[in-house]
Amino acid sequence: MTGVASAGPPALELADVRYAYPDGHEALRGISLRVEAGERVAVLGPNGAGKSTLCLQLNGILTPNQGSVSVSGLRVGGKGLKEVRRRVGVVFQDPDDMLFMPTVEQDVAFGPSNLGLPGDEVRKRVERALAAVGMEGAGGRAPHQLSFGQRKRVATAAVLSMEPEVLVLDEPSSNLDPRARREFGEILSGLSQTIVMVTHDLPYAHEICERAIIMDGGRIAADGPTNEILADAELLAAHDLELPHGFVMNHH
Amino acid sequence: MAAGDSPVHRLDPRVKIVGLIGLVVVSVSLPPGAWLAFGALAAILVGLVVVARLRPLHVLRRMTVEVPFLLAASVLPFAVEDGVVLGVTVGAKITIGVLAMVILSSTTPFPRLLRGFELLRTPRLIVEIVAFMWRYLHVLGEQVSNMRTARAARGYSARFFWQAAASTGSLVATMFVRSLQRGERVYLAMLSRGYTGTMPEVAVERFALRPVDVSFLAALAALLVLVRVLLP
Repeated sequence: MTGVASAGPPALELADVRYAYPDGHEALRGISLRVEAGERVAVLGPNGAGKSTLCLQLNGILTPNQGSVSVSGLRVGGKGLKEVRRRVGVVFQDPDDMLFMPTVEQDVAFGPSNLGLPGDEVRKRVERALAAVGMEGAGGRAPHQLSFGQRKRVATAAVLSMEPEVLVLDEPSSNLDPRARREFGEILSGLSQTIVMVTHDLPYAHEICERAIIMDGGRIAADGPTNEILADAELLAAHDLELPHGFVMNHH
Repeated sequence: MAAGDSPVHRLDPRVKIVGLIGLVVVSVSLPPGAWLAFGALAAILVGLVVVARLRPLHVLRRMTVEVPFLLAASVLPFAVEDGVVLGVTVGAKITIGVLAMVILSSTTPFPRLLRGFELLRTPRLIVEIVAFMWRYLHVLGEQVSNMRTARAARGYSARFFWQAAASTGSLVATMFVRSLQRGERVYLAMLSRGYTGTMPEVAVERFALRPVDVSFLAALAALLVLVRVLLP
């Protein structure tokens, strides 16, 4: 789906975004990025490259000191914040940070309830979202009764129930066992949303995303088709990225 | 904890909460030495335990929380005039209250209990705080047990009290910092899902009083009135 030509505004547009934390640490030093609707983009890079900071910029948790972020043409920051957070769903790394309600269905209903939707619509969305991640029938259970992989899926459902246009995932495969990792990848691949996925798991990026960017030192160091990026051993080495031993990229 | 199925389990949580409060109020308002009335209340509760098919041993174990209170009440016979009657009365009231709470919590899953309190117009903030506590106690408990395992794996064993105190102190401090960080991340996750400072009322599960709920409450109320008016 690389190079999707869409008539509307891009799903995400970042123009020279700069951000420094209150302690002075400069996390983003001029990020310009355009993601079309329906694209799947992997964000790669060493620890401390600014990847997680970038995620938090996308739904207005952090706002740039300079530059701008727009979601489908709507500028982040200011009045449309609620709409931005509906359009951009963030799945955080640790599902225990996301599942704070007593039961699974209440948690999945949290987002849509914040949107002020009527009860029947909320119920419908909860059902659909749980079905999308293969967790039908778990609605009445408490998060601590689920495995880590199941909690990850419920956390994703909790974001999908807001029917976002863009899904942002921070380290989606971390702490998952091989089977849960594969199943979660299949779920992600089956979604129609635009996906931005921060990961250290390069094969996972290759599996799910057709486009990859490498971040380093708060800047974008490379941007291109995932298979080309991952095939460039010099580029990867320059940014402390390594393919797993024995993993060979086959060119298409 | 509240797994199982019985007519008592299936009762609407609101009915159980109101029933419990009613029963405790009647018990507390009884004069000292109203043995027949205490017996009747205890009989109602034991009847509920039987109908709910709770294991007696489980109930007794959970009732041990009242032991410190009973110990306190046991001082009364030595402290005041008519102390024996007073002491036993206080003991009976404590036991009835605790038994009622054990039945409620053993037959109602915690999320349903919270929802019941919410529907009974308990201040929102209190319900939310309890809900968060319940949710994260499990997460924190897991962290503590992981940290203790890690400590044991590195050959730790406390030989003297002060050693245990020192390392437990640092464990508590670590937990405190981690919880603070977790709280921050949870808050970010909440903001990301449209939180604006007040929890929305999340009503996924439908609650409706069935005839059986209403009849249970009516029957219990009638019994309680009879006990309170006729027996002392």
